[in-house]
Amino acid sequence: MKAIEVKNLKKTFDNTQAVQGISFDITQGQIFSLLGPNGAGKTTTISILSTLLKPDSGSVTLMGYDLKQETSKAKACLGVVPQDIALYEDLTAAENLNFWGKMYGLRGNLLKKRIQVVLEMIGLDDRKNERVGKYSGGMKRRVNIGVALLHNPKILFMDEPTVGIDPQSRRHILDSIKLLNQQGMTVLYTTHYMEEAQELSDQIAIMDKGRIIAMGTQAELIKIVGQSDRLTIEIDKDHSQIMDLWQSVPGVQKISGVNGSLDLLAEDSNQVLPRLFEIAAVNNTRITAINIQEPNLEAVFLHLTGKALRD
Amino acid sequence: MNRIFDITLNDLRQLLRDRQTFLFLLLMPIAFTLLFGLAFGSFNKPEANADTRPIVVFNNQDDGNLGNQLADIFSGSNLIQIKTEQNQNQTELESLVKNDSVAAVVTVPTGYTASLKSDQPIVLELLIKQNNNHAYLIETEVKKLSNRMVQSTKISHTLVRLIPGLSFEENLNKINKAWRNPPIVISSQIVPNQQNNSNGMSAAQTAPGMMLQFSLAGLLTAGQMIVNERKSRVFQRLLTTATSQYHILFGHYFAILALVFVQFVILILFGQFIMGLDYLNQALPTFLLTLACAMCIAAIGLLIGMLAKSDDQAIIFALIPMFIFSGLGGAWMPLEFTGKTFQTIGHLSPVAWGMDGFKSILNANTGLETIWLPVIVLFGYGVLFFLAAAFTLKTKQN
Ligand SMILES: Nc1ncnc2c1ncn2[C@@H]1O[C@H](COP(=O)(O)OP(=O)(O)OP(=O)(O)O)[C@@H](O)[C@H]1O
Ligand SMILES: [Mg+2]
Repeated sequence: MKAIEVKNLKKTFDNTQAVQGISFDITQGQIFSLLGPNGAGKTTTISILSTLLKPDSGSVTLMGYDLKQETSKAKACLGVVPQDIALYEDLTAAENLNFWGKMYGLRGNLLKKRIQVVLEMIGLDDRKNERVGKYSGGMKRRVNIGVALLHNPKILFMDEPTVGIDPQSRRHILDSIKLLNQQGMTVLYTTHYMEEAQELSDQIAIMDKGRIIAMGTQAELIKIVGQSDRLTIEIDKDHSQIMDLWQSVPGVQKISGVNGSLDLLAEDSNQVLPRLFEIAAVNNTRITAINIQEPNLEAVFLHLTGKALRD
Repeated sequence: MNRIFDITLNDLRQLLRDRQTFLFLLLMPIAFTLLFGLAFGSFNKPEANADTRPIVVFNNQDDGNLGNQLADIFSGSNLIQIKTEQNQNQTELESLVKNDSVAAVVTVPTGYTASLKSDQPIVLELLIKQNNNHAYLIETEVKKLSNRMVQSTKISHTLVRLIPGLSFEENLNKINKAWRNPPIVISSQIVPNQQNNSNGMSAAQTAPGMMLQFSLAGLLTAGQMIVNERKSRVFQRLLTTATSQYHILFGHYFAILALVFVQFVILILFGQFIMGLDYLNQALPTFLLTLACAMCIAAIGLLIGMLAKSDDQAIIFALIPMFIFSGLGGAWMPLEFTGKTFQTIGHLSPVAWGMDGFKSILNANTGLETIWLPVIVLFGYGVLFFLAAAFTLKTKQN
C-alpha cells in the first residue's frame, strides 16, 4: 500500500516558484529522502504535505486519505518534525511532551506511558525536568523529534532534523529513525547531507530548484550517471606487465599506472576484483593495498546539475 | 473545548513562570495608585452617613399639573437630591451651576403637561457643568426618571382608549403612585462618597485609572508570549496536529482574560480594603464591569500578539495603546475636566467607558442602570478587537 501519494504539486510565492510540479509515491514502511541544496523546495513540499501551506495545484493523499477532503483523518496519521525547533523554551521537556501529547489527543494514562517511552527513546529521561531553553542544540533537536513521536504516527515527516548538531546526537537520531522504521513507520526525510540520504533511504528523490530531477534507489540513481567504481591498487613489482594483463579483464574500462600503483575504472568492483587477484597470483605479483571508491549521490547531483550539492 | 483549555493552561504556566509578569500585573499598579494617591492627598476618609448626593435644582416652568407630578418622581430618587425652584430666572440658575452651589438644573419647559397629554412628550432641559464628576450619573438618572413619566402617560392613554369612562388624570396619578410604591422594592443604602478634592483627583479617579492603565501595560508579556510562539514555529506545529486556528485563538484569549481578570480582582480588593473605596457594595455591577473591561483588554492583547512581528514590536504595540487609551480615556486626568469635544473623542477609548463605569460605582450607589452602557460598549469593543485578531491571523496564514 502507498502511504503517501503526491501528484503534480505546485507552489509559487510572490515571484519564487518554490515547487514546480513534483510527484512521488512512498510505499508504507519505507524511508524516502528528499535530497537537495538550500532553497530546493524541500521545506515547502513538507509544509504542503502537513497542511501548513495550500498548494496552487496538485493533490496529496496520506494513508489513502485525501489531504484536502479528509484533512483531519490525514493529519491524524501524521507526525511532523519541523526544520526549526518548535518547542516552548520556558517549559521543561516533560511539560512540553505533556502539552504536545494533549494536542495530539492523548490523555491520562496513555499519555503518561507515551511520554515515558519517548523520553527513553530520545535519551533524556534523566533531564526531563530541565527547561528546554537551557538544553544544548542537540538535546533540543531530540525533544523536537520526540514531540512528533508521541502519538506513534503511521507517517513521520522530518525536515533536516540533524542540522547543526554534534556527531553523537546525529548518530542517536539516525539510529532512532532506523528503529522506528523497523517498527513499521513510514518516514519522509529531507536533507542536504548525501551521507544521511545514502545511509537511511529506501528511495531517494533529488530535488533542485523546485523540481525532482532524479528518483529511485541509491543504486538506480547511480546507474543514471553510469559512473564506474574507482580502484587504486598497489603491488610489490613494477606495474607495466600486470597492467597489460588486467586491461583485458572484462569489466575493466580504463587503467593507468605509476611506480607500482595502478588506477582502474571498473563497472563493478565486485565482479572484477576476483579476476584481478587470480591474474596477480599466477604472475607472482602481490597486491599490497586496495582502495575502492564507489560513485556517490554527490557525483549524481554534479552530473545532473553541473554544480555541487553543498556550496 | 479541552484543547482550548489545554492551551490556556499552558499559557498561564508560561506566564506565571516569568517574574516580569508579576511586576507588571500587580506591583506597578499598586505602587502607582499609592503614589498618585499620596501626591493628591486623596485618602481622606469620608464622613459617615452624610448625604452626598449631588444637588439638582428642579425648575418647574410647566403650566399644567404633570410638572408637579414629575417633581414628586424626582424627589424619590436615591441618587440625586432635589431642590424645587420656580421663581429664579435663567441667569441666576446658570450662575448657581457655574459656581458649583448645585450640580445641575433640570428645567421642565412650559407646555410640558399639554405635550404629554397629546402624546408628544418634549425633552427636559438639563444644565450641567461638563467637568462635573457626576455628570454621567445625573444625566442617566434624569433620563430614567423623566422616561418613567412618559411611560406612565402612555399607559394611561392606552387605558383610557380601551376603557371608556376612565379619567386620564386619575389614571396617571394611580400609575405614578404605583411607581413610587412598587410591589418589589430594590432597596439599597446610601453610601457616602469619597470627598472630592478641588482638583478632582480622588482615589475614585486614581484607582480605576491605574487599574485600567496597568492592565493594558500587562499585555506586553502576553503579547510577547504569542509572538514568540508564532516566531518559534510552535504555532505552525500546532496546526499540524488536530488543533485549529480557533482553538489557538480562544486558548490564548482565555489565558489573557484570566490574567487580566485576576489582576482586576486583586486591585479591586486592594482598593476596597486598603484604600477605603467601596466597590463591593455594588458587587454585581462591579463584577459585570470588571468582566467587560477584562474581555475588552484581553482582546487587545490577542490582537497585539497577532500583529507584532517581534518581541520588541510587541512591547511597542502594548505601550502605544496603553498611552493613547489611558490618556484619551481619562485614566490620568478626569475627562470631566476637558471640553465636550475632547470628551467625545475620549470616549473612542475603551478606557473612558471603564472609567465612567467604575466612577459611577464608586461615586454613588447606582445599581445596574448606570453601568449597562459602559458594559455593552466594552463588550462590543472586545468583540471588535477579537475579530481583528482573528482576521490578522487568517491573513498571515498564507
Ligand atoms: N514564505 C515564503 N515566502 C516567499 N518565498 C518563500 C517562502 N518560503 C520559501 N520561499 C522560497 O521558496 C524557495 C524554496 O524554499 P524552501 O524553504 O522550500 O527550501 P528548502 O529546500 O527547504 O531549503 P533549506 O535546505 O535551506 O531548508 C526558496 O527560494 C525560498 O526563498
Ligand atoms: Mg528547508
